[in-house]
Amino acid sequence: MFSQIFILSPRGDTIINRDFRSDLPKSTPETFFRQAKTYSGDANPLFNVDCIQFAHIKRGGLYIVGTSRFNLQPAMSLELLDRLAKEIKDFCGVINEEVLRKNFILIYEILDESFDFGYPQLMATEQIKPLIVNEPIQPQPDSVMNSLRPKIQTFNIFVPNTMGSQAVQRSVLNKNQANEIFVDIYEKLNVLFNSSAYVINQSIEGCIQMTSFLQGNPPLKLALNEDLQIGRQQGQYSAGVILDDCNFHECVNANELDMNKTLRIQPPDGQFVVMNYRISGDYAAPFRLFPIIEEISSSKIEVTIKLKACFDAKIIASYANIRIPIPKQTANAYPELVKNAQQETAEYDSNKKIIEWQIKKLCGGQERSLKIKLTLQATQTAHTARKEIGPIAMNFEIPMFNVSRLQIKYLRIEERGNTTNPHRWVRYITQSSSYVCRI
Amino acid sequence: MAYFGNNQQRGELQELFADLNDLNFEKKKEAIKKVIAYMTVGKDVSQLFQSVIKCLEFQDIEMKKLIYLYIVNYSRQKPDDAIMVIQNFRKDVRKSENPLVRALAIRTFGCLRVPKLNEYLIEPLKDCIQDDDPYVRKTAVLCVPKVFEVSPELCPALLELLQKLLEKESNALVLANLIQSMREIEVVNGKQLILMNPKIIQKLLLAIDECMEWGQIFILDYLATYDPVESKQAEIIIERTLPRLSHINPTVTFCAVKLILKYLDHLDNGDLVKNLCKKISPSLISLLSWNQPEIQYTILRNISLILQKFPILFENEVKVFFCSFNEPYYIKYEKLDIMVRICDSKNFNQVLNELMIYLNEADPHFVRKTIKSIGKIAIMYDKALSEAVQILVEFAKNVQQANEPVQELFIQMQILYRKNRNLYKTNDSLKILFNILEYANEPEAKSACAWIVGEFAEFIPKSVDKMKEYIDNFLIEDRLVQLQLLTSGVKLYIKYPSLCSALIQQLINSAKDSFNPDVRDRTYIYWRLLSTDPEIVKNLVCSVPANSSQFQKDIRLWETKDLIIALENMGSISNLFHKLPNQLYKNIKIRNNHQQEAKIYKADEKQDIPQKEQEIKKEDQNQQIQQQPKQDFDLLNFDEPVSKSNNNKIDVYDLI
Repeated sequence: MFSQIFILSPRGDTIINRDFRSDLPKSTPETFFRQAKTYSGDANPLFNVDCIQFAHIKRGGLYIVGTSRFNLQPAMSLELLDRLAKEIKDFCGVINEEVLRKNFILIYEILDESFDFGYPQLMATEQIKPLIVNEPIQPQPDSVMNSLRPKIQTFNIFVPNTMGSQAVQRSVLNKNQANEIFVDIYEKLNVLFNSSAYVINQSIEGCIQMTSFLQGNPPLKLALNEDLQIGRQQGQYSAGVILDDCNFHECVNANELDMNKTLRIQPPDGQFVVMNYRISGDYAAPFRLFPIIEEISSSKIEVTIKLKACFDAKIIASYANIRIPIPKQTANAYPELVKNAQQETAEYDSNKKIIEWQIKKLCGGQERSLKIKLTLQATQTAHTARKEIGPIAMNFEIPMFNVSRLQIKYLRIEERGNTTNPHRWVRYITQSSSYVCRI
Repeated sequence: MAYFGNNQQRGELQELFADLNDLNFEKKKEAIKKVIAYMTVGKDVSQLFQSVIKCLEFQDIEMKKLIYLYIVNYSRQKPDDAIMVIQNFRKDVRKSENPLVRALAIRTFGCLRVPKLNEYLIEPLKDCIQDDDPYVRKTAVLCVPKVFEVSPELCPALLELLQKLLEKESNALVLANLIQSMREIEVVNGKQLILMNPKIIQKLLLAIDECMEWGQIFILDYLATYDPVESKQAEIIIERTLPRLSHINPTVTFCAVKLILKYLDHLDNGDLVKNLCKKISPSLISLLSWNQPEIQYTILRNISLILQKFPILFENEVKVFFCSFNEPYYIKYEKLDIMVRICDSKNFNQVLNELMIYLNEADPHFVRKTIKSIGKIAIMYDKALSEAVQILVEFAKNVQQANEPVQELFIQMQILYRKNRNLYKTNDSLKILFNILEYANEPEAKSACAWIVGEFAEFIPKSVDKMKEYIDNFLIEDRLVQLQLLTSGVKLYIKYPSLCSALIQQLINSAKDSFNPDVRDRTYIYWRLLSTDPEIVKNLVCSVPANSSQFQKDIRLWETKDLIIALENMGSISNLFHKLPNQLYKNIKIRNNHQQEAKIYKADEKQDIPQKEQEIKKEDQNQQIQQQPKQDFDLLNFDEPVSKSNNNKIDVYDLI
């Protein structure tokens, strides 16, 4: 089990250091940081130095590290650290250096309840809430640090890079809060097209996530589609929503799912994932890409990409970014948008040899296109260079839309006491996970 | 005046000292918070020990928590002072109405780790184990291994108490902690503490449903070490475990998978086994698409292990392991590795087509691995050979600079040529390779090139010139390249005796004084052989191996006996490194195993599992037989197996 848990700043300063078993030298944080710095990019999540096992995750730029001398389950070590990070986030609202330094005593308290002798004990926010005596100290809003934080959109799927929600940055310990619950249905799409826009491989990874600020944590009843079916038989076709596999949070009772498609939930405080699901069957991809490559001469290539949004006209994708790698030997590239293009940009990054095409808003049913004129260096001919174009990767987000048609029919609070009827917010969000078109 | 060197810190400590002794409660509390802050960043505040513990007289729980934190940290430095705390602890444990305070005290007490304090601890600990409040009990139960570690001689009574508690405890959380602490003591003690009987198993199975996820992990993990006495019992346990497969915590799911996979061996109903496999497979695949790449990685590393014993689980699922463009590279490497393992005579086309696309990736290291994988598949399946060569040749056409993938390309092409010499004709492969020979710069790739030049000299227009170029630089080459150059040089001389007489002279002259004994010896052997009878040399050096069956097809990750141990430790860190636990940690002993053979679960075979095992055995014997002739010629076979340093298990050898 964990011997120590410590949290280090990006510069390697110790912010939190809790030793559970005293069986490791005191200098392990330094050992960790030195080793982590030897990696060129991000350090491996797990490594082993002199029989000491280090597991770490990075949140808000901070290293959250667990050490052990035992033959641990690595998946569990990482999951534990992740849970710890979630707990801290639930209590403090956000995770960053400033907040953690201000709240270090609170975090020691959380650590003490969550682990004993390195063994995980109570790790759910609502379970340890009654045992915690400290109040979180909020950082100054809009301090210099906050405004300096970079606002870069990355291509990393693992950070849900979605529109802001007021539910996100709030502490569960805040006493005067509204009685409300947020339900998000996220779906991440994996689609692989070949050059003739034919789908080679597709799947959906989805989850139903709740952020609960309900007073008194009343039991909930959540109803899903009536045509829902779990488990796929080979070669079977059905009009309903078929999930290949799904799993549930501990607070969910799924006994009635088969019968009447409802889940009974005893919601904990704060954020939790009600259910994860996976769908591998066919579905209509929301975007289609049609790339056309023409060799104009031996040193010139013209690439035309058509993008079609194949969803209802009422729905608007909040952004769509398309990235097209072009040959290494490109001398110059000119991306050309159609005339009068609005809220669209296309740029050529000559270092990375990539064309970035960004579309700010896209309504369902619309078509966009981009023409790229490439001039090659003399060393390569168009014929060999065209193979180096692609694969085209797309990143997008479509709010209030989901591909699987999984729906929440209703969310009821089973025993309504004397409290007022709480607000229930439901969002559907479809994002790309890996949306790729090969050429 | 060195004594006053640390003026500033001294000042801080004095200030804190003053605040701690202040009469104002709030001021004291602030001071303690500061002390903890200093402690966290590693400043030594142990001098304040006395002043801090004086504050224990207040009943404020926040203050208590902080002070206990401080005591745990410094008790070993100040054991004499720590004794003063004992009374406070005992008072808290015995008298406090609040279970939180009782638990807090006993938890901290256990962490003191000062041997001479432990005797004061036993009595309160006994009380706590029998406490009415489960929160106190669960804390007390975990306290036992803490004490056991420091002073085992005090513990027999406590251990008995734990065993009794196991019989009667009903709270799932306490039960989970109980199992975990007894297991830990078992490891240290070496004696069996948990006496399994049907009643306890029943109890644990019930507890799984009730306790929290971490408790479930403890219990499932423990049950997975148990050997069921009969098929029926295994069936019951599996049945109770099945719902855990859809748990949201990946570790719970994985522990359930581990347990079920282990118990499959004990089932005597073949259909049931098949059905269970069908249930496990989607859960494992879901774990693979977990939204944290770190978790995905750990699962992937274990899947290569599971695959060896349970190929049935991933039948027709090769698509799951296709890489997507935005995954971290450590995931892609694993997927690549698994794709090769999962590849069979039915799906190799699909896999090769996928691999072909990866050749366009940006990361040179990944492309290199892809090329290697293509080579491996071609070696395994004769039918895949021509397609693999075609893909590699296409790749070779676009090579424009000396980079990592090119090196691997030469190495793999050499292996493929060795497998089937006639491949040089396919798609002009030899010609295309010859055009890019200059890009080889790693020793292994260079030696592969030297081999190609020697072997196919008659089909390469300027082979002699090329060899001359190589031999001019003989002395600066790596040993591996030198050895290959010797052999290839001799081959060339046999093929063109008149053209190459100067060349071979130059070669022998530069090689005979080499510092490396291997190179020197080989030079002399060739020299003498050539001067006695060139005909023998011709037969030896230029003979074409009759068949390619010498290529081993073994890509098994583990030896059978290690496989069993590795499966027992499935999911642990040692498997992540693909090692046995005792190779990674010196303090771990492996459970002795009586099982000698691992059952292999394949999809197409229903009953004849033992036969499969025999086949493997037969293969082993065949390999041994094949190795026999090799030893006879060992004297002449100096070539390093080409792939050895690549940690590649395909052994390639031929006669020089």
